[in-house]
Amino acid sequence: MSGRVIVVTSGKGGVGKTTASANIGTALAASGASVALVDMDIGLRNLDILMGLENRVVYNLVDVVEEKCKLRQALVKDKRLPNLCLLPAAQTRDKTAVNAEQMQKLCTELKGLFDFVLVDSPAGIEGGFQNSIAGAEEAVVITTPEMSAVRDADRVIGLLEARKEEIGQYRLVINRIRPQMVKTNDMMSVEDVLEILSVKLLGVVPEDDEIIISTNKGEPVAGTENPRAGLAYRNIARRLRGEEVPFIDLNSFNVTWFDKIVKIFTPVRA
Amino acid sequence: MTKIAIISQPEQGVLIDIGGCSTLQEATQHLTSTLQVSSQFWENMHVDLNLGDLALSKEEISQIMSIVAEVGVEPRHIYAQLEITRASLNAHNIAAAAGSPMNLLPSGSSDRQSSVEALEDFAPDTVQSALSPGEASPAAASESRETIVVAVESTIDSALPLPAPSEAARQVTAPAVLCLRQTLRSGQAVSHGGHLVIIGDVNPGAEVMAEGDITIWGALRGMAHAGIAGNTSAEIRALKLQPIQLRIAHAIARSPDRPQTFAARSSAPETARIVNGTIRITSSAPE
Repeated sequence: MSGRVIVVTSGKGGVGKTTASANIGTALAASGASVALVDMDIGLRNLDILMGLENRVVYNLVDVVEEKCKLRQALVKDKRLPNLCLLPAAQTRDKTAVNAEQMQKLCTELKGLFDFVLVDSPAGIEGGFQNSIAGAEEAVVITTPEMSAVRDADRVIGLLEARKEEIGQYRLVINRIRPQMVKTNDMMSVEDVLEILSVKLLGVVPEDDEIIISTNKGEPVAGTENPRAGLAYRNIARRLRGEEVPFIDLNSFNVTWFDKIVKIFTPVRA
Repeated sequence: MTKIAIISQPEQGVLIDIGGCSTLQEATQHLTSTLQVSSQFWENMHVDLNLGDLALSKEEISQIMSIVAEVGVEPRHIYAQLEITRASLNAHNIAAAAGSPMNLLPSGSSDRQSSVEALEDFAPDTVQSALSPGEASPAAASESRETIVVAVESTIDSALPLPAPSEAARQVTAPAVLCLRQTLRSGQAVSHGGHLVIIGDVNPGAEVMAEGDITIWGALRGMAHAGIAGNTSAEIRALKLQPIQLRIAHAIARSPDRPQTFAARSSAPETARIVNGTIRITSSAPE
């Protein structure tokens, strides 16, 4: 078996890389694929908390690289999905604990065991990011509809383009969009972001309070019935698997009673 | 700021001061570039090493010691300001020298800049040349400036290649009880060969390890591993025992999966020990 190694990256911090990794991984696994989630944010590990697996971590990625344990020993099996595994980062080390060659070797090994290897990259474009993309063949770039995040995403896309031979394709996920604010022109729209970045869109994830609750519970929303962010991540997973899935109409969210009444009295234009 | 200073002490030898570095990587880099100037320079030289405020783990100490050993230098005295670093030195059976090395400096050279000038008189064409490229090293400039995170060595297989400490450094062995008066934050780790007492909290993401018991006068919210050498009668006790994971000898216990609410958690002191091969937690209060 030869799986696909996909790096989840953004440049800017706090835009939702780890949340996206946890949810896309969960959604892919729920659809039947075997998935390894690799936390590359060495020294600032979070993915284990989002997955609710922090109490099961015994060995970590650095232990594997330093051959203190077998890869199989370090993989933490998910609580809910048996075909989903987490390779946690080390918390008491830093980004210099691994290098690009070691990551390539690790990704090759994981590729042989799983259909999908999702690498959650740290923020920034330095060593940690370089290590994350070292073994990757595809990239998912996360951004939010803010100028700062878009600029950083643009920088990252530039760096990914420079490695065309290794990274065959990169697609964009726009996270935390608030349709109501887009409507009132207080937030960049999907089109605005795409105009600047001109990359292929993989998905749009609406802002959702459930994300905070799910982070605290250690249960990614993609594994639940959640109809907003959860659905968006499930659709992203389907697109990653090659399905054609239409983008959800963001305006169907946050519809107020007032909006509905207005809609009833608004004549439908042909 | 000067990252590394070599201070000549005419009658006492040379003091290598890496206390100005803020991370281990910076320290090793500067140390390597400085020491490699001329290995002959170091021959038969009494060398002292000042680690300053660097927080170093056992593993990191061995990293520094092997750099120093590569050029044949055996530090006579090693100075360290932080308790955590002194503990790591003790773990290697290296005694941290008493006091601050600044006492040993020639009078009038209390700051680093003048110390370097003192060096120029001493060996102008050799060592000084190593100082300037080290300062402007582009690799060092691009490094993140985050505070040093104390690395953990794997307790399960801790066979580390370590140069033998010098005779002078061999005198003191690790104390039976190490008492740390600080809160350990995420990413920090302490490992000790005897019993470990922490007056403060151990936060999630921090790791404490001891061959003997671990006692925490505060909240244990991170990971604690007692009896790392296989002592199954080791105990872990804390005022608030809320760990992510507990390990005693080869047994591992993890906290319940369903996260408890942020408020209601047990607040009575508790003790964890091995009973019939598994870790059990009991109240520490007298019956």
